[in-house]
Amino acid sequence: MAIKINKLNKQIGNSGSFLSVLTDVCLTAHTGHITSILGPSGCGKSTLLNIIAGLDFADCGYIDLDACVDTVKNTIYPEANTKKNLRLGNVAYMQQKDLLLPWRTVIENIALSLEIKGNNKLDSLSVATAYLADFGLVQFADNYPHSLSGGMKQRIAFLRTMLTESPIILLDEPFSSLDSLTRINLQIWFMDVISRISRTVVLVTHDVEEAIFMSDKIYVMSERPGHIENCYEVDFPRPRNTMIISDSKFMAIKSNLLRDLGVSHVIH
Amino acid sequence: MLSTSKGAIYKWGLPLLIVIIIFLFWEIMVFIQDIPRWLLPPPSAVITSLIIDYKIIFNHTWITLLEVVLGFVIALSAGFLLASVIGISKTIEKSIYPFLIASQTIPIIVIAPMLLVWVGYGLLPKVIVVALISFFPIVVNTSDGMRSIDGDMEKLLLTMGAHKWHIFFKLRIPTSIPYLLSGMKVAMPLCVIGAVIGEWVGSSQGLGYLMIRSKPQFQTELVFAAILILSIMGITLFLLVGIIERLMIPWLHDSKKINE
Repeated sequence: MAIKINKLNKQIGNSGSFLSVLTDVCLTAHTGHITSILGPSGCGKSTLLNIIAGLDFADCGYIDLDACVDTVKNTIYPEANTKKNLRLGNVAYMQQKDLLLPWRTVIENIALSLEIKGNNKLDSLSVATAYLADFGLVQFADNYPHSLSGGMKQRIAFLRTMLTESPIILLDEPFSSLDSLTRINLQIWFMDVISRISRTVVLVTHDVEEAIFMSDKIYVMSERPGHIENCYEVDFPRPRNTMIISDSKFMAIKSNLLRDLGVSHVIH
Repeated sequence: MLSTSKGAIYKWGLPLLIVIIIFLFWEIMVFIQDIPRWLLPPPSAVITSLIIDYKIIFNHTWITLLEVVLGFVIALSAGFLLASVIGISKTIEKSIYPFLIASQTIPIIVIAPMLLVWVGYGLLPKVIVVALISFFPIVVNTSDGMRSIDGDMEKLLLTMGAHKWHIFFKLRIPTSIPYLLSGMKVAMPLCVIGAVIGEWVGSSQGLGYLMIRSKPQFQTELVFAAILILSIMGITLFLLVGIIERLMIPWLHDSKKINE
């Protein structure tokens, strides 16, 4: 077990008008697995990721991050009293936008987390170069982000996230801005990269097929106030290819998910 | 190759053409209307005096240029430092900003003669006037830049374990560099005006002094020659900032695209 969340609650707003964003969210994500959180836009998925990453505090609840490296272990109840969030800096978080720093070349962007951890710039760059070479992207090392395509930017942003070496990786709709062809290529590439290491990956998405294609487990979140409505195990063997999309088991999960999300007429 | 030479003609040829047309018109009007030389000299007389008196003009230009550069460097350093402090602390920003604006409402033409009394007669009061006049656009632009960091990028750095100084050096400063440079572009021509104001209220050297001295002697062409040199100085320094800009922010100018 790597992430265990129990009865997490979060409200936003001030004096008088409170808006409940998360109510009694419970989920478990295992090491080496991709766990998806699927839900409609505005259901509080991003808030949940912010809380796991340590950028935001929950009002009450229990979060236990016990990963392959024993760096993060804090139980909070309620955690808003602690001033510094212990999870912050120990959970890698890739947001929706690529967020590559425009003034840094590809290699400098990838080395960013190493520099922040206190390594000197030259060491960081050589580690990053070796890393980029592993993935056959070393020819892009000295380019500025603006000269890259959307798909390539996401690859670089993903590698930067991986290089933080955090045992836990959060991905917030990393493919949502890409066209469908680039998207499927990148999904396969992501799964390949993740299969090489043993990390706990939490993927937030609102794309049903993406969730089934990539995940080992899918949690369905309801509309606001967000809570976990249902949970599915997806046991297609890895490595997966696009063939499984037409599999009958895939279809069955898909129609269940669509029903959970309130899409009543499913076209087969 | 063809497109670059065409671009050069667009960039330099057109302004040059306009200057030539204006000078020709000016030359002809002075001739037709028979305007006396001390009232409005024709461009040919201005250029002639530039050639004849080049030694005098060169010496005065050198002094003015020195004042401009020194004042600008002081304004740049002080401005960047102050903008950094404003960028770091909201409290400091709130307490400093009103005074910053107030400092710009004090007429520089009033301060300039006081400076002569306070710090003496040499180069220093002129350098101070230049610094005072160019300080404001640099501070305002740079501190705007410091505050306009991308919130999501800040979050990203925080999740990597960044503390306040990482955010400052790896995010705030790089974000503010383009703002700083556009502040420098606004400040540069102001510096030239500042130097002339400083010289105007009391000096024995510089192009401002040359103008004050030449006017009562009816050497109006020398006044115009000084104005011409000041314009050229302003334009050259402005272009220099442009070159620095291209060197410092290659990510905005290097536009080559790569296909996957």
